[in-house]
Amino acid sequence: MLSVNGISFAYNCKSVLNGVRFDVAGGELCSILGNNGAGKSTLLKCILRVLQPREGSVLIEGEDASHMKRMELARRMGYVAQKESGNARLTVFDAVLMGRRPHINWGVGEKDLEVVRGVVEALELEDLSLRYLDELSGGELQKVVIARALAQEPGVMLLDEPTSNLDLRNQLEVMETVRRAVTERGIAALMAIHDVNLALRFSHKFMLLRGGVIFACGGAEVITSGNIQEVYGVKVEVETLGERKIIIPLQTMEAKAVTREEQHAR
Amino acid sequence: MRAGRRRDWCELEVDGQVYEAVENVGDGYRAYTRRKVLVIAAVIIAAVVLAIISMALGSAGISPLEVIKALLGQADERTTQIVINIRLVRVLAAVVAGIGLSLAGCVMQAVLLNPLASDYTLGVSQGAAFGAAVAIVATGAGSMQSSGADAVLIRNPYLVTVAAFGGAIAATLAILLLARYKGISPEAMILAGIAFGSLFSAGTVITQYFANDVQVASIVFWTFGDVGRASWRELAIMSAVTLPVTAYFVFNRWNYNALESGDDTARSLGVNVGRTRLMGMLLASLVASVAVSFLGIIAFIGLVSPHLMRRIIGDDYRFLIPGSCAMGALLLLASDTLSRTIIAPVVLPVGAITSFMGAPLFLYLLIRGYRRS
Ligand SMILES: Nc1ncnc2c1ncn2[C@@H]1O[C@H](COP(=O)(O)OP(=O)(O)OP(=O)(O)O)[C@@H](O)[C@H]1O
Ligand SMILES: [Mg+2]
Repeated sequence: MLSVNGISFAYNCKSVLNGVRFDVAGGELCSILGNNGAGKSTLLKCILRVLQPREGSVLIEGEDASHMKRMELARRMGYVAQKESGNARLTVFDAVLMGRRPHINWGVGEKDLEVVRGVVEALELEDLSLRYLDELSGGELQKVVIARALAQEPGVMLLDEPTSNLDLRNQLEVMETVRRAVTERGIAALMAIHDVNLALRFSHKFMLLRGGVIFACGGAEVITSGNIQEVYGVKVEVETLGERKIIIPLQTMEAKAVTREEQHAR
Repeated sequence: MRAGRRRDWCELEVDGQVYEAVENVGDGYRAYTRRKVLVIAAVIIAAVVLAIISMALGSAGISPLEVIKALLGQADERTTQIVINIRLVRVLAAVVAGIGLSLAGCVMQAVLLNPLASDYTLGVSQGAAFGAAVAIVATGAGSMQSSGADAVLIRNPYLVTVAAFGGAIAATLAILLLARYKGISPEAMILAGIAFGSLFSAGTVITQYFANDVQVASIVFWTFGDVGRASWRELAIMSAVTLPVTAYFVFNRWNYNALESGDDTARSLGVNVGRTRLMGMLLASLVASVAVSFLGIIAFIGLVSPHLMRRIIGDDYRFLIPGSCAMGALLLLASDTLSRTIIAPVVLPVGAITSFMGAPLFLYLLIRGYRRS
């Protein structure tokens, strides 16, 4: 269970987030949707406490995250960064094993190896397991990073565009793995993602972020052509295919200067 | 391996080594880590063997067997005297300094995420040289003659050592203060280190300009590193600093691994990035400073021995830290052995020999690339 209570954040003087408030329950995957620069990554970093929000607090299972030690936080919260450097001479297995670090006191135990083996197999990374990170493709590296976060066995997962480098098959596979982990282990997951259809298919909840404020938040019902048009400035058609909702982009709209003006008004 | 999923190859090639039919990921991984442990063990054994040979070499004509006997306290008086009181100190000083310098380079590279980091590139050595130069000039040429060269007179070796240490630490603190209070990035820290290094070098040059002939000779002589300068007392101080710091670095091995993935990810894995970087730099510089102030400048070990190990066993700091220690000890020991035997009885400056041996080896490894076909 993750509660974000009115987080505001500014880079120097440039306000990026304003009073962002929402909850993600255990076993729930929430997608953050919003255009480039909307503040998705910033929000995730504030929750991770990499950035210090100007105001507001983050509660994990009702406990204030700002009072936790880094290591304590790492045991409860996993993070998949938008960019991973990946130029280390570290094998894939070792990289995934890093996810066990918050749980390891001194040496690597049988359980740690077991957990790593499990996620490596779940994400079909076996064949790569002794390959060095700097010898992987972008998508392979992304899977390794996701595997590391899963190996952390956290209660909260923050994913920053985890599928941006993946091919069609891997997008589905990785999202299925993430979703299964989320529902089976009762993880509260928050994911920034650009592919609205992928989000529609796998998430329980949606958060539309525009100019650092929540524009709309809720189940699939918030994905309407009106909302998408407001947030992305793109005219879309929302269709249902079988039981599944999909959006079809039609054309871009006149770009609204709304973000900056709104920000000035505040 | 997952049942029902066929694997059309049954070999796994790692670093030129072929592991057959790895039934599951864990076994392959174990075999792979075992190989790293073996490499490190081999380097350690080589260092021990070389240490014994090194203690046997010299004008006294002692055999390696006699060395071992002397170490076990079963040789005659004279042999024991030479081996324990002269040669063993020298060998141990080379080992401890090798470990310290190499470890310092390894950890500086880890926390600054930069392959160029070492005591030499970050201005620690230059700071020490400047401190020593100032002390030599300030105390003036005096009565105490130094071990090697005739024209060299260092009046107060302890003062020089302390001043060198002060210079080395000053260089480090300058960088760390910038990092702490101005929040400069790791790349900027490297650049600042290079800047402070040239500042100190310029300071040394100016000091030399105003010194007399004997003082200049003494300064130059001081900068030639020499592991023979250490006595038991210096060795004890060096070890007292190096060993706890080594333990600290080993304790932080996971943190250095995590830093490789970037600061944000490292934080998400529970690493206190700021503290790890600050303490890493501070302690690495401390170890290097102690070695440099007692023995003079020994270039290149700090840069080359971690990289030699990186090339052989990869960047995993769980293995790289002990590996670098072993390699640093081996390299400095080998350089010292060579420096005092190659044109015996003249003892060449070990710092020059480290570069002579290290550079070609390093270039060879760079050109050959990582171990994998
Ligand atoms: N370190 C920084 N310093 C100053 N401004 C920043 C910094 N990082 C991001 N910003 C700005 O903050 C805003 C939000 O950035 P953020 O990275 O959160 O966007 P995002 O929603 O993740 O975008 P994307 O979809 O492109 O990843 C952007 O306008 C960006 O230019
Ligand atoms: Mg982003």
